[in-house]
Amino acid sequence: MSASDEFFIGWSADVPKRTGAFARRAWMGALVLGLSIAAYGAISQAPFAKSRFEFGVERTFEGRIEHIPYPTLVVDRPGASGDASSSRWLLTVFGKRGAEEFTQPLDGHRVSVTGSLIYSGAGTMVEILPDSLKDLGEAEAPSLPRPSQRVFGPQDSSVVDTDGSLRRGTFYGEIVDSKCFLGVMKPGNLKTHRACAIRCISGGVPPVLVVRGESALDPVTYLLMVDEEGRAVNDRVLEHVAQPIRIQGFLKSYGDMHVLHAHLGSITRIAPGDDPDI
Amino acid sequence: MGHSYRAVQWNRFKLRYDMALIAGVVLFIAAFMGISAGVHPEATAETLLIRGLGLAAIVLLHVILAIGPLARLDRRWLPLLYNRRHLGVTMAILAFIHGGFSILQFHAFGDTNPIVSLFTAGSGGDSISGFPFQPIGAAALAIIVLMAATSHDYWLANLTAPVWKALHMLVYLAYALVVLHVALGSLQVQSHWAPAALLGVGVLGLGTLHTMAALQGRGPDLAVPEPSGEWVDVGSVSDVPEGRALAAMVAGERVAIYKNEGKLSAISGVCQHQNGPLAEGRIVDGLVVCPWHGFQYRPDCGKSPEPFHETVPTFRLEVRGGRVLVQTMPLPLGTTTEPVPATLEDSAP
Repeated sequence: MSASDEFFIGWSADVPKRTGAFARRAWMGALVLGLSIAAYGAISQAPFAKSRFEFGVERTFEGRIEHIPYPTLVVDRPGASGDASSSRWLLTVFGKRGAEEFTQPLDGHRVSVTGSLIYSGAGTMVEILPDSLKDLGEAEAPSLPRPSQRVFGPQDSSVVDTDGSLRRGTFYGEIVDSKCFLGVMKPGNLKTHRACAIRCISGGVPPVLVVRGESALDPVTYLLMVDEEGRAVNDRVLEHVAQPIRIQGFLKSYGDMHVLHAHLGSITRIAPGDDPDI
Repeated sequence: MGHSYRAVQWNRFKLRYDMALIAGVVLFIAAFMGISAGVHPEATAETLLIRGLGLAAIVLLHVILAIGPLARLDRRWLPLLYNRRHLGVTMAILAFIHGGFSILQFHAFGDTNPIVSLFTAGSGGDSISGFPFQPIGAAALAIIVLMAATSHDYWLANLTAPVWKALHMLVYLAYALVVLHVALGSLQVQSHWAPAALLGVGVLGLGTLHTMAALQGRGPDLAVPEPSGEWVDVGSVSDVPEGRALAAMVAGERVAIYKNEGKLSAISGVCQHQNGPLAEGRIVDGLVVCPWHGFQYRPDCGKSPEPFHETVPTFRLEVRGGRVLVQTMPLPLGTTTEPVPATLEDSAP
C-alpha cells in the first residue's frame, strides 16, 4: 500500500504510517525552504544607516537655547575656535513632537537639560525631558555670527551636490523629519517611512532636506528647512515628504548647522528617470 | 461536526502539528533577526521585528494557499489541509502583531489618532509607486483577522456553509492586497532584486498550483454524462471499488456512488462541512468519511451518526445491464434509500 492508498482521518489519533512519514518530510522541506527565505530576506536588505538613538540612556547637557526657528542647543566646544567652537544640536521631545513649546520661553538663555542623544554623521539631536529644563540665566551674546550674516556662495565647499560640484540655487533631495533620519528609525527616509515622517513633521519635528550621493552609503548633506523669511515650514511641506524633489533656495550656516531657506513654491517632484541636471 | 463546540478538539496528531508549526515560526523569525543582526549590525530591533513578522506572515500565507491545490493533486497533503485553520490563525496573529507594531512605530505618539493617520498620512503620491501601501495592508489585515476569528466550526454552523465559504474565499482578495502592500511598500525601497523575485516566484507558484488543481478537477468527476430520461448512466458496476466511491456529475450535481459491503448507494458528492469532495472519501466502519475533515455520513440516508446532525442529499440508484444509473432529482434530505447489490443483474424490473 502506498501513501496515496492510505486514508487519513484528522480526528483519529492514528496517522497512517506512510502518510505520517510524508507529512514529516513535507514539514522538513517547508522548514528548509522557509529558513532559506528568512536568510535570503535578511541578507538582501538594503544597508542601514550608521546612526544611533541612545534610547534609555539619559545624559545632562548645558548650552544656550537658540531657535533657527527650530529649537537648538548650542553646546560649547572648549579649545576649538571659529565655527568649531560650538555645536548646534536640534531638540525634540518624546514621540513625534517638537520641543518648541518647552524651549521658546528660554530662547537665548543658558540651560541645563537631560535627554537622550540621537546622532549620525549628518548631525546630532537630543530628545529632551521637558521637566529637566533648568534656566541658568540669560546667555552672553553669541560669539558666532548670526545666521543672516553668512551666506554660502560659490567659494564655499562645505555643501556639495550629488556629483561633487558646488551648488547654490537649486537642490535635489528628499524631505524627511530630522528625528527619525538622525537615528530613531532605520530607515528614517524613503517611502516606507513616509507616513511616520509626515506625522513627525506635522507634530513639530524639524524637517530637513537630505541631499544624498549615488549610493545609499555615500555621505549625505543635511539641510534644515525654513522658508525664505526664516520661518518654520512644517505644515507647508507635508505633501512633499519622502519623495524625490527639486527645490530652489539659498543656504545659510549657523555654525555647524546648514539651513536651506527654501522657495516653497519651487518644489517639484522628480519623476523616476528624470535627469536632475536638466 | 459536533452538537457542542470546543475551541480545539486536540488529539496527538494535532498537538504534534501545532508544535511543529510553532517551532517553524519561531525558527523562521529567529533566523531572520539573527542573520539580519549579524549582516546588518546597524539595524534596529523594531525594524527587524516588523520585517521578520511580515515576512513570516506572507510565507505562511503562501503555504496556506498552496495546501488546498496540493491536496487536490496528491492526497498525501491532506493531513496538512486538515489543520489548515491552525496555520491561518497563526498567520493572522503574525500579521496582527506586524500591523499593530507598525501602527505603533509609524503613527502613534503624534498629533493625530494613529488609526486616522494610517489612512491619511502618506497619501497623495502622484504615481503608482507613490500609492500609499499601508491602508492596503490594513484592509488585508482586516480580512485575515475576520477569517481567523470565524474559522471555528461554531461560525460555520451559525453563518451557514455558503456564507462561511464565501467569507473565507476572501482569502484570495486578502492575498492580492498583501502582494500590493509589499509591492508598493517594501519593494519600493529595496535595491536588491531578491525580494521582488521571491514575491514573483510565490505568486507564479500559487497560480500554477491552482491552475493544475483546477485542470485536474475537470477530469472524470466533472464529465457530464448524457442524460437518459430522468436517469443518468454514470458508469459500470465494476467501476465502483469496494469501500470507495465513483464520482459523477448528475444534472449539474456532484454525486458520490459508494460501494459498501457489495451494495451501492448514491449520496451528494459535496460535504456539508466545507464542500469537501465526498466522492474522494472512504467507507470506514460503515460510514462515508470526507477526506478533508473526517465528517461522516450514512451511505443509505446521508445522515451523520448521532449526536451529529449534518445531512447530505441521497439519490435513487439502479443497476441495469451492469450499468449504474442515478436519478437526476435528489431526494428530500434524510430520505433513506435501499442499497442496491453491485451485480450484473438488473436491480429493477
